[in-house]
Amino acid sequence: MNVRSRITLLFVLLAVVPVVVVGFLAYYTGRQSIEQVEINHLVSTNLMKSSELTRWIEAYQQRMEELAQRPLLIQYSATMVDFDPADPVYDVSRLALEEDHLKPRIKPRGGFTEVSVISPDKGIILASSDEIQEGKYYANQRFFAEGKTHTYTQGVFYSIPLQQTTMMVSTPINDRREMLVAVLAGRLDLRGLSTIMSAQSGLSRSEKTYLVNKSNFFVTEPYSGEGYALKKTVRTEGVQAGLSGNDGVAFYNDYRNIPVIGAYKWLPEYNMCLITEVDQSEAFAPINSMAMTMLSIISILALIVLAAGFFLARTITQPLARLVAGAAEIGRHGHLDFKVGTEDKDEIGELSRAFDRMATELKMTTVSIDELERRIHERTAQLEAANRELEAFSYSVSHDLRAPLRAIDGYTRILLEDYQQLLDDEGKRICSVISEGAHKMSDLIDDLLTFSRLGRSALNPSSIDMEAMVNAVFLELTTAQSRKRIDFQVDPLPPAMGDPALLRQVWVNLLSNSVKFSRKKKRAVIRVRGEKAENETIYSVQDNGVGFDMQYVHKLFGVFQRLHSVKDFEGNGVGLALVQRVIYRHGGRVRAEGETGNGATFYFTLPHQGVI
Amino acid sequence: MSDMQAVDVLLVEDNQQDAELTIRSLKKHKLSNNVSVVEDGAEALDFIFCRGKYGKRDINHPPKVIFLDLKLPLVGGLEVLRAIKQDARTKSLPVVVVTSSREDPDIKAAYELGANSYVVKPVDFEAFTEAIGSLGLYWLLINQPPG
Repeated sequence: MNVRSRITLLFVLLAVVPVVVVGFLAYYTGRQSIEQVEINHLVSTNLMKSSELTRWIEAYQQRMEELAQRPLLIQYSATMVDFDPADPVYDVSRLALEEDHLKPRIKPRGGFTEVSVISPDKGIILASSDEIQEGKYYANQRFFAEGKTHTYTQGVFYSIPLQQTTMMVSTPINDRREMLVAVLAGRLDLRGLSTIMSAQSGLSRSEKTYLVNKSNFFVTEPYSGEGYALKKTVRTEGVQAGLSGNDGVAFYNDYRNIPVIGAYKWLPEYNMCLITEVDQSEAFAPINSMAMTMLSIISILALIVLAAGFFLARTITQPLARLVAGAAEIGRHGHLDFKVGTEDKDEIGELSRAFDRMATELKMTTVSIDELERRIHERTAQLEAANRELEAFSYSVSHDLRAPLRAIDGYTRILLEDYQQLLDDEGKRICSVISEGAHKMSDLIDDLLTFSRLGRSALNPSSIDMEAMVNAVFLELTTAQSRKRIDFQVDPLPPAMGDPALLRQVWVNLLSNSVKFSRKKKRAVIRVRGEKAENETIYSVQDNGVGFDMQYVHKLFGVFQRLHSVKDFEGNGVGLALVQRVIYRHGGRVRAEGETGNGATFYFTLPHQGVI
Repeated sequence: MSDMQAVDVLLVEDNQQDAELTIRSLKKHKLSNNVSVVEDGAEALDFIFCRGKYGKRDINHPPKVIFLDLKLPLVGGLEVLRAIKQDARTKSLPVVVVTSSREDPDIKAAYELGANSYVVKPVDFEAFTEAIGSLGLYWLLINQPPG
């Protein structure tokens, strides 16, 4: 996962997660409280409705009781009970009852639909506001049996004779001696009940209250049904709970199979169950719409944050990408002129500027390296030219200086050969001096050329068995005769790394010196040693020859420098200078110790690492 | 001794003293009958290829040996050597480089160009006489030339 995605994701998480959590909590608590409010409302609605129902019924009971106490009604009722129907008094009483007391009780809207006086013994309707009912038997009706002793309301039932739902209120008609005369029964218009039940509490549209009887039949019309009363049954969870005699609240699907919150209440005095329901969708509408709003907000927020994070990440990753590109440009293609070039004030901007400075400095360094290389080339060319000049010089020396010498020697000889008789001894001696001078000069030229060649030719280093080399050189320098006189001791010598030809020359010069300067001793001792130090190997040649005065030691290694007369020891003073030159070229050092008459020791070192 | 005649030795030497000493050395060894001396490289080439004032010479009668100095005016000794060894008519001519130079590069170059010998002239006259005498003896008497 790249930095950009990570930053974006982090943004989204930081912004959205708290909102989601808070949103969920708000939704949850909101739903809880709405649920509580709704439950309370439903329960109180149920209580209210049940008390309204009770009041409604009690109101009609009261009316029935008032009616039953009217003296004329009692009198007429008693007359009808006591007299034979054939008796004219019976009919008069009936008419008076019907016209004056019963019919006026009937109201077109609500109230009683039928009020009847029933004979107490046989249960026959004596008089009724509805004449058709007269003569009918109510003997087996409960309201009749109960109505004999007290005011009674029979819960809603379906009247088969009437073929309609009905509710009866009955009350005894007693005379002044509290003797039962007849039973007064009134049929209630259930529309009134429905009106009470369907009266909206005003809080929610889907709220409905209805009554269900013991046989699961609707008693009042529910809000969204028509002709349901006592024709349709309902067996929802709430109804079943209510009919079991419980009060409570439940969440279930109603008769339309729609989720509702329902409060149920058992009304034992009427054998009915009061149900108040509200659609869950409506009850929870506010919280649901809040949830929807919340979801929208979260979505929009997520989108905004996503975009913001994306662009913010871009502002971070884009300079980084340019840095990466710059590094590739410089590292892979060597374009040191590349500049990230940023005005940003942040850390990445700082990094970019540091990067640019680095590139600039790198370029300067590279330029100076180029400059150095150019100078080295220049110097090398100069050195090579100087070397070539030296070579040409050597060539001239070797060629041109010899020719005159040869002429000097040659013509001197010719003089000696051709004019022998003209020269006396002194003349001949002078000729030989001239000849010697020429020879001497020739040797000097040879030595000088060797010396100069040593300084110029390249070293060809290889591993050298120094001990073998020393022994070979010694044999070469001496004759069997001279070796008898010399005690030559060679310690085990460490091998060396160097140019074999040049180091051989070193041994030649040192050993020949030792042989030369010790030749006047009866018993010459020459000792060669070698030992390894930390970084170099030290070789030495010691003799017991004439030695030298240490105060002139600094002259020892100079070209053409001599500490002894040529008369005593031949030589032209190039040997040690040559030794020094060879050792210097190998990165080593030379040193000499000596004492006049007591021999000399010459040391040289060779480094273990590297040959210059 | 005529330049137009067949010669035994062609001495290419600009130093008159060296030339004289050389001839004297040959004479000592009784080898100086037919010696021609030229003093520079250009003249040497004219002589060998029968050009210029040597136009009448017969190229079919070359010297038995050429003693060649390296340091010459006009045309250098190595150039002369190269010209001789590159020409089919003359490449079998024995050329002895006789010079004062002990320089390695010269010796190497001379042999690479086909020199038959390389001799450094000693300063010592006796050694010089000995060396020239030996050369003369060898190349004129002992060596058998082709054809």
